[in-house]
Amino acid sequence: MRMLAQGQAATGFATPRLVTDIAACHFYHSFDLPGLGCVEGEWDLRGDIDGYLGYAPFAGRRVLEVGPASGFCTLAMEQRGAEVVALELPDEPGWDFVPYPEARLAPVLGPRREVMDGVKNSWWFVHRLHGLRARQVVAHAAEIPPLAGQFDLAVLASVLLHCRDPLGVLQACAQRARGLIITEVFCPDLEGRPVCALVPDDANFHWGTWWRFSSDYFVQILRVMGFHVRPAVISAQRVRQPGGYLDDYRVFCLVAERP
Amino acid sequence: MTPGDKAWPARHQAPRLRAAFGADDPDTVLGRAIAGSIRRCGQGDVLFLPALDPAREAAILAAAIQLAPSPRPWVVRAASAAAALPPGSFAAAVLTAGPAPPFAEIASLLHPAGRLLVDASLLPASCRCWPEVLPLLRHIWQGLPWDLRFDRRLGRLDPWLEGADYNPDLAPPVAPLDPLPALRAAFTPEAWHAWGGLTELLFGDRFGANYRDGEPTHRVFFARVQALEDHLLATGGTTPTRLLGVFRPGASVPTALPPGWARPLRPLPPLDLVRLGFDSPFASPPLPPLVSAPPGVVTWFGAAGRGPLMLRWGWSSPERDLTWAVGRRSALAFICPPGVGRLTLRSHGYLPGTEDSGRQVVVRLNGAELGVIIHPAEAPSQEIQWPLPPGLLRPEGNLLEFDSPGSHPAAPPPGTADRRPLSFALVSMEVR
Repeated sequence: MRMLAQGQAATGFATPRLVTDIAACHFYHSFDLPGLGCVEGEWDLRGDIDGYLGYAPFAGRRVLEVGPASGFCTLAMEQRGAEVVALELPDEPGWDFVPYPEARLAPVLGPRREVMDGVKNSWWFVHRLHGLRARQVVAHAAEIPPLAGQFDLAVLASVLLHCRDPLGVLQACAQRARGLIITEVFCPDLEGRPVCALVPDDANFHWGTWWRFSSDYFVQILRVMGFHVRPAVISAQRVRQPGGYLDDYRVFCLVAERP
Repeated sequence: MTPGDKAWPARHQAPRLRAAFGADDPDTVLGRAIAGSIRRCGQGDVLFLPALDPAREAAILAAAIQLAPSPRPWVVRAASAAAALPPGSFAAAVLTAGPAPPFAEIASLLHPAGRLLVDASLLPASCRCWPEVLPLLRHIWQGLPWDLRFDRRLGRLDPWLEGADYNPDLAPPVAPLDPLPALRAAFTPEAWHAWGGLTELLFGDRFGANYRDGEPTHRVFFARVQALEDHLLATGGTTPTRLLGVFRPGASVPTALPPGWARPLRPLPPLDLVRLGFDSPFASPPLPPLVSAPPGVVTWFGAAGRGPLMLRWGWSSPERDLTWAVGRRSALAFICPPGVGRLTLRSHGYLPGTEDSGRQVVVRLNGAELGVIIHPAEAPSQEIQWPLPPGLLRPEGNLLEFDSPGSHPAAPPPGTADRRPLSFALVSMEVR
């Protein structure tokens, strides 16, 4: 008998969380929420969500969104006519932590679990306020439940940099979707070569981010997998820094579809 | 990186030299030509311009002596090609390095049956290709596997062919330094082989050792680049960057001139590679990225802005607040939502003199003319808005082209060393 992930209904889709208190939410994305106004998150995609998603057409398409965070892309894609299924991490084992020594990681684990819970709450909060139809599946991206079905597009926006095995996740999504959208931070120093760079080292303690990628890295592997890849779209997105100020991040987005 | 084979480019160049001279390498070509000159003139005086390193000189003379043992060559060495030339009547003069010497004077020093032998770069020291081929080279470059773009001299990847020694922005004005007009005014070519800057750069000392015999694609690529270079030289797309040739005194008659020895008036845009029939044997490269231009957000073309990522061809390196268009034609690409209805450009004209035609820039979007930017002397900075007809913008990306027929390559402002053919600078762009 297949074990259901926490919060997973027998249909394969997550049981909606009823979140009515904004204080229970941690907003990863900034929003203009009905009746509440502007809520600021770490990433403000409001200025150029089309660029962030590579100007892909969404009308009438079934979309698997891996790692929806607070749901700004969920909202945008649904507003553009997509049927969205969001794939959220289970609480356990949860985040793909970089294997720093246990003693060093221990102080991070509890707070991170709380943040993740707040982020998941924010997705359901936005879902309720905007009356979204999107559904959620709880699973690791490399193990997408068959019940979720097949998709026109799988969206991996700022997700693969956090995955220990990004190509495994990519392959799993490619098996379930005819098209892929990949958005990552643009790294000019890596461009021109099909490479990625390991981010964490013993000094920086980047426990949650594994990789920086060149766009060529994904273009090459997507072509290997039989996808036709459109030119990368570069957009500028505002990201809140630890000091509270907003900085422009350049991101690239690749839209790939099988012929 | 695997250990490099420095002889790879020379080995693959050999058939061309054999066809032109009956010898596989430049030293043998020069040696045989010296021997022929000595035989014709009945004397052995040979002038080297400038002196060569002893090992190379010995190799050339050995090749000469093998064919013409008597009279023995008697070598006179000039300090440089431009130094005061020694008096005499020489059977041969061997030019192996710049700067361009006084060809007429060399001709007067040669025996009537003597020959000028050239194995030299024709470029100023700071250049490795003529600027007009650089857009083509950079386009080809971006399609190469990364291991072929590894700079052996600097020990690092060169992702964009960005080295200063082939940056046209840094090159002195090329026309006054082009020695070919003076050469052909004093000499007529007998046998020659010319390089056009493509093979010299792509397979030169920086990158040539990246190629391997075991990779058939490498050989195919070399042959196709050679063919493209030959085509450009033959059709006036560029002029020689390096010559290996045998010249007899006396001005070239027009029919004897190698074709394509006149400088082209404008660079070839990279898209012309398709028209030129060049087909890379490597997997097609990722297309250049398209920068998103969301409605209401100004894109700046200063070095720190997003605008420089939009640039395609015909631009100088971005400066702090703007980017200058270089030469007559330039272009940029962007992507934006289809519903926008207005394009705003802020630009600055380059007005070094009084020539009115240099103040106008024709702007086209996806091939359709939007209008003309006029930069009057009293207001060189302009902000122009154009309505965008429905259907003009393309969902897959847009090409904005600029045509400024009156760029000013020959009239830099007094007191500046900047000799770029500037026409106008782009400051910002916005769609709404």
